[in-house]
Amino acid sequence: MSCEGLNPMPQARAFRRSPDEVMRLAHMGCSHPTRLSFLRQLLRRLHAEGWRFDRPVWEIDAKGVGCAVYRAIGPARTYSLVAFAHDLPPEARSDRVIATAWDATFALFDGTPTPADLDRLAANVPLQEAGRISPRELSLSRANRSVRLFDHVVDRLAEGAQPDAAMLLDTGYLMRTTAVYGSGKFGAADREAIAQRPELSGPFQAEMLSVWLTRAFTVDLVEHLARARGGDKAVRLAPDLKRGLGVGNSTGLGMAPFLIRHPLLLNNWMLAREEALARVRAQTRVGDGELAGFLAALETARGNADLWTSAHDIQRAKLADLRDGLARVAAHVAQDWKQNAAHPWDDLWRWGQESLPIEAQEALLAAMLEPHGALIDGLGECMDADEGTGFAINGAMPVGELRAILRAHYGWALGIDYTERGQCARFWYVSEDKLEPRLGERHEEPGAERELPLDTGRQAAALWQALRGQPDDLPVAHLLLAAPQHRPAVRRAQITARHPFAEIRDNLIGAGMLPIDILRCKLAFFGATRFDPRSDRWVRISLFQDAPYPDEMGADA
Amino acid sequence: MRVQANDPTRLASSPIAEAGQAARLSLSETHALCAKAARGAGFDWGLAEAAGHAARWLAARALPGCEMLLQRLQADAVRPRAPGLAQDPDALLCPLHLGTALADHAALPEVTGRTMIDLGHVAMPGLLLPFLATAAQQGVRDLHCCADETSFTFQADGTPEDDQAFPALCSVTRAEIRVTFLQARRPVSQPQSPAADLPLVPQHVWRALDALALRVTVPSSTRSISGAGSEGSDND
Repeated sequence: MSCEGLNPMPQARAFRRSPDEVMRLAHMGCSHPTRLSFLRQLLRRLHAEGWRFDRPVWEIDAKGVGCAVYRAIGPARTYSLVAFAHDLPPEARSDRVIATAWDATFALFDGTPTPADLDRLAANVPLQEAGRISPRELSLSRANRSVRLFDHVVDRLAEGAQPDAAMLLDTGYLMRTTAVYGSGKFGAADREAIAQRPELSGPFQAEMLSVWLTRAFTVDLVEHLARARGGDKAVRLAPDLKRGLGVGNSTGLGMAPFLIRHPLLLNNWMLAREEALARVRAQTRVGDGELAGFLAALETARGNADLWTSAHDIQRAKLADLRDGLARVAAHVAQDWKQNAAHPWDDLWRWGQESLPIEAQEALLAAMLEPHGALIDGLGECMDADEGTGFAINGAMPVGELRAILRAHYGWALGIDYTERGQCARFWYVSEDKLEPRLGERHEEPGAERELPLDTGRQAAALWQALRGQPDDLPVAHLLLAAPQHRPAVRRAQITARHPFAEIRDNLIGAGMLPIDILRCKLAFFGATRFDPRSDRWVRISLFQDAPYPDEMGADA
Repeated sequence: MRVQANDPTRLASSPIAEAGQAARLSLSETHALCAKAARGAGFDWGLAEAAGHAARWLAARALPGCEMLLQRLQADAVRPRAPGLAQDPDALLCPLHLGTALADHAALPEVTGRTMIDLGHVAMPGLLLPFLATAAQQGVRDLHCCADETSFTFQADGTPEDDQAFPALCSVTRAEIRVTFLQARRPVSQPQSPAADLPLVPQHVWRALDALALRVTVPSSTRSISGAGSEGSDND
């Protein structure tokens, strides 16, 4: 929903950044998770509503094969992660297309599964895409062991010792998911079937719940295997080591089109974050609690930046920027920050904009939001979207108005010559064998005639050309009757006019476009850390590192 | 074509028959399948997305959107010059072109200035229903529709006043359609999504749509695969 009309802090609007700045890929590709990220929203709700958790089924043998069920019991409804653990030979372990089997497979079930439900899921969930789930399931996923670390942890615990802390920090997770499907995929419940439930109305809440419970399963599994091997000698994983473990995720190009295909959703995510920053910048004082919280967040960010490694050149340069930038923030805050300025947070932000690389600016943003929960957490309610409302085209809009929208919001697209080789070097398509989105080289590979309509800038420019010479008062409906090929561009322009953060303001088919920039933005909204690109189009990340476990939920969150 | 399992970005799988030779697709699967099938059948992406949207709207009301779309894609139909503009009286009009045109024009004088619009003969007229709902919303007026011998009304918020005539309309391959825009009789409210059981899609319908959808796919090149994910094993 849009909360624009209900904004309790209209004065913050003056402090908002422009979409021309933040919707560029160079900017989106530096996104950091914040307290508005989806996994943080989930954990806050579970804590605030006093959700309970149990594990009614644990039928895993000494080899680590079997079934387990984890329940999350809320005030109105219960959800169950059904986990199947498999015995996977090393040669079958892959985190991508060649795999047909995994160490563990999962489904998030709506309610408490009966034995018949478990039988049905056992026949389908381990097959993943080759099986079929039902509207009783909200997600389908799988994970592989991070073998070196997994085996090390089991070995050590079985011997009665704790694993090597440095090894744990280095990898950061025991298992890595390779896909978490939701929203109607493979027969699962459609988004609209569950979107009215308060606990699932926020984006990706079912998927986040599934991954969080998966994290508990990974720890239970290593402790179980250690007990099976070491008997009475075995020990459990020390709580502080356990805390530092997340769930890994390996994700690729296919995630990128989501942000292009869901402009209303993208707008609401970005707008919530931008409004949060604006609210903080609009504050007229720095409270003691806020200052302490900010300094703690900054310190945590510096610690994370030190632990965050990547072998990819682009990311290494960004990490250097980040570490250096955060050190400069810490020095500035300690020595030069004018906390008695009329708008002290804005003063700090403006300094950052002038002095820091984008990577560090976005980290500063996250740290500034961190101590302001009371001011901004409500914005989380505005991050879903009724996407049906954006589908109808306003055919009565005069061409003059459409032209003005393009001029105001698509300046980045209209000046480009898309016949130039480099400006149209790529095309997005669906691969025949895997049915996954891919990026092709237009001038070197076949298939461009089957291009997906993700060339948003080129489409906007083509629409701009089609409007040339048309009278200002011509209704758009007349134009579309003659030229229906412009429907997607007209729809996007009309959405962007009302929702200015809806459109990525960059040429998505240009030679220099980096898909990992799109992935980084989306994954930061999920709450992912340790963003580690392995090429310009696929990455590994970590989720829920340093978050509480279900059995710790009453204590803190 | 053999589809292998495991891809974080897979768009679709073959649905398993649940009841005899039929499968139940989720609404998002229906939408994606039908949009790609329409594109594969030669529609531009704008109309193809409209086809996906229409099939989803119909499936959400337990109406056979997939079947009707397939029949439309397999048969010829004429593109209208404008909604209600004099047509060849014998022409059989495409419900996707006609529907989008009517919805686009719903707030314009050529539609608002007329009491009744004779839309002519429409192929697979059930596919027109989602567009009539949108037209009522866009025109902010109630929309009364006569289809051959049956009639029904959409309120100005896009909700049908009575949907009993829908299954019959979805079972015929052509109908003569006339629409009348009326002053909205109730305050416009937020339309509620219906909670009907999803319709069963016969396997042969799914297969035919899937075959059309595959026309928009591209065989993987070695180069495109090489950057898409991990090259090696996942044993680290």
